[in-house]
Amino acid sequence: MTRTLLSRIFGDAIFPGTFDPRWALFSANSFIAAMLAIYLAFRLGLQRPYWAMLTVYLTAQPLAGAVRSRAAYRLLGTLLGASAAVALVPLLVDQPSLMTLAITSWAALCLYVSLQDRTPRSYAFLLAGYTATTVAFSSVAAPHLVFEVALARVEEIVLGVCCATAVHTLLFPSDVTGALIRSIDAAVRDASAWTAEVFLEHAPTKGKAARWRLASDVTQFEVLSSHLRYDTAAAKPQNWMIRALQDKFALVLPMLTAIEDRLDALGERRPPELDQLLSRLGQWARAPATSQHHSQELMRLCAEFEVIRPAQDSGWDALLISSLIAKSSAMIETLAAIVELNAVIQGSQPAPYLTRFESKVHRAKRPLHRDQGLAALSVVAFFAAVLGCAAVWVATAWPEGGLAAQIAAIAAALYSSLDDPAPTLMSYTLWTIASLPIAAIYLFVIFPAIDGFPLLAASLAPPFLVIGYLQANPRHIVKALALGLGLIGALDLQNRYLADFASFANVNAASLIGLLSAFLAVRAFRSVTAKHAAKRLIRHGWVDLAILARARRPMDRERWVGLMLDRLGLVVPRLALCGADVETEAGRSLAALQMGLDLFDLKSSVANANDQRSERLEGLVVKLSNAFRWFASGNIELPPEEAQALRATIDTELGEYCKWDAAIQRTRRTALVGLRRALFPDAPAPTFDGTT
Amino acid sequence: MTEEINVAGVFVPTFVVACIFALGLGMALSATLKRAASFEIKSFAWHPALFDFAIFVILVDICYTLLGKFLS
Repeated sequence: MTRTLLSRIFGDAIFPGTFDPRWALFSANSFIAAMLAIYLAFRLGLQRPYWAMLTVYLTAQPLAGAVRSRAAYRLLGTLLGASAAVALVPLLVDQPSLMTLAITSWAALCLYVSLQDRTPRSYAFLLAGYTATTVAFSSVAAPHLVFEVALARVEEIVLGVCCATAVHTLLFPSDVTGALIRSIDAAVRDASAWTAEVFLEHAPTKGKAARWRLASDVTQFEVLSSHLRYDTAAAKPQNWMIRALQDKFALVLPMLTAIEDRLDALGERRPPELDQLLSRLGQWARAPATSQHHSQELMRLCAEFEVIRPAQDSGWDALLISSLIAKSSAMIETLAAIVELNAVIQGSQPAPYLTRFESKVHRAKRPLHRDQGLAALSVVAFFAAVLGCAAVWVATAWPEGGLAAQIAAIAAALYSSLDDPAPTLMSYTLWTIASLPIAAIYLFVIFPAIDGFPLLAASLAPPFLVIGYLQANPRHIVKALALGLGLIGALDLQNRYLADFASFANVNAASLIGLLSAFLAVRAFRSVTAKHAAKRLIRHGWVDLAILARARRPMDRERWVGLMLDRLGLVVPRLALCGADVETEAGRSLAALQMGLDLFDLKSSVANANDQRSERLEGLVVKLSNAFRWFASGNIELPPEEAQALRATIDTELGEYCKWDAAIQRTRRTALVGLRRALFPDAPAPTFDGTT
Repeated sequence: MTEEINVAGVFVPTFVVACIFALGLGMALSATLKRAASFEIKSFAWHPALFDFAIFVILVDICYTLLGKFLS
């Protein structure tokens, strides 16, 4: 019975059957770091030692590199936020309302900036925002002491950060490099296996969730590689290698899906020599590193095949085969590059072997999807929560009102990157309430009975070891943080025993009011459902495609593909969450990505040749842009007349390019076949007058 | 020796200044070694992070001693 109840509350996290020693080690490290921080804070006579302990639990991460990067960003953010408070408070000391507005605006600006960056770097801006509110609202009663408050905050955070970093780095650290290398290796094996499967089985393998994981993997590499600079491993892969690998990985999903689509369209009408070629490609893809063939040799075979085929065949099937071969050849090149890069990253090949990649790789950061609209709504919710608390604080002269506003600012900012932060905030509030009885037991029963630091550490060990263990488990991280931070805040550990029930009740009531006001503001202004979030992502994809079609200047292909793939990785879990048909909906997003790649090819061919046909292609591109805008407004299909006109234009162009076989015509032909298949997969095969 | 240093009117403990110098020196040293040596020195260490920490402690000690000498 007890076990059932506990397992319902804590999941299966605390039972021996699922005991994970790594999580236990993480928990022990966090506790040692917390006790070290609190001990040093006591010894140094800091004002609020519990801030140092809070920082230890907020900075703790399972990977040592992640702890160090989070520590650096937290320190940077705290310095920036404290500086902002020190700059603003003395200026507006005579205008408390204006000061509240200015500090809230600064924090809102920082929140907005942090939401524009989905990598761990955003933590610095998040901290810069809510540190300013914490310091400013703490010093409203005595504005002349703002520097002391800011200094105390910085000192305690520095202490917490240093203790967390030292302990998590020195005691059995698990490095980011190992985790990154393992996930890259798994993704490479998945990509090879999928490529081999497509080439050898010739049938679309739709309905496999693993392929959608490939899209989110690319973003995951970006997030993990941002910790690399701070990692503890002796030999770390260089960032350009990871970027090069990401650029290549980004092409795998659209290219393999295109190959599957051409095979599907050809059906059983594949000539035997094509089957032969595909089976050679498949055998190579099964084990590219150990295969007796070389990728260059296979690409040469593809090129030869492409030259021979059009002479024998004509019409739609020939175009499909030509497109299939072009895509297959590109896929082999991509997979070969991925395998080579993986070997270098794993350390089995020296880096100079691949220096040719380095010059090609963009040193600029890869863009990830950003949603300005949702970020703006987060800012509105933040304003509502903080200013609401501040208004009640000023109107009622509530002594603890400043604390409520501080907690509202932290809570409204902390989970604002989620689609719907409200359930997480509610869960956080409930678990904070759950921490209060534990804190009361400590404050009024245990602490009066003990004396000295060793006894304090021993008495705190049981709950904090359990909390640390739960924090290591991604499923329980919110409840662990709420319990841990609630407990640390409520205990308010000081050098002397100062417990007072009235103050305990007042402070914690203010914290809960702050949390609830953040919840209400977020629920009113910011919450979106998974379905709505998925729709927004899909719409952004189509709008970007329309912008690409209309773009006068050439756009960066790798950046564009990376962004679209990131969106695809984001849209899939949201579609699954709202119960939508993932295959169909995500398939449409993938089709948008494929069309983008074809458009890049088409536009580059237009830019390279200023002939009359290129001008006609410009007309087609405008029509395509209009079609993409139509899809962006939520429509699934084009109006019949427009669809027919667009298809007729593509078919006319295709008919033109059937007659020629120069490289530029081949590029355009492949791109047009790709666009036609993506836009009109069920349309009957076109007939070309004079060629069929 | 002087236990605090006046930095623009703020009295900062000498130990903190020594730590900041040591951190900067350690990073510069690591970057220089990475460029100058064709191999990663840390790969010979049993515990690379402990190796880094040990170097940091040595540098803190050197900086603290030097600051003490200059400021006394």
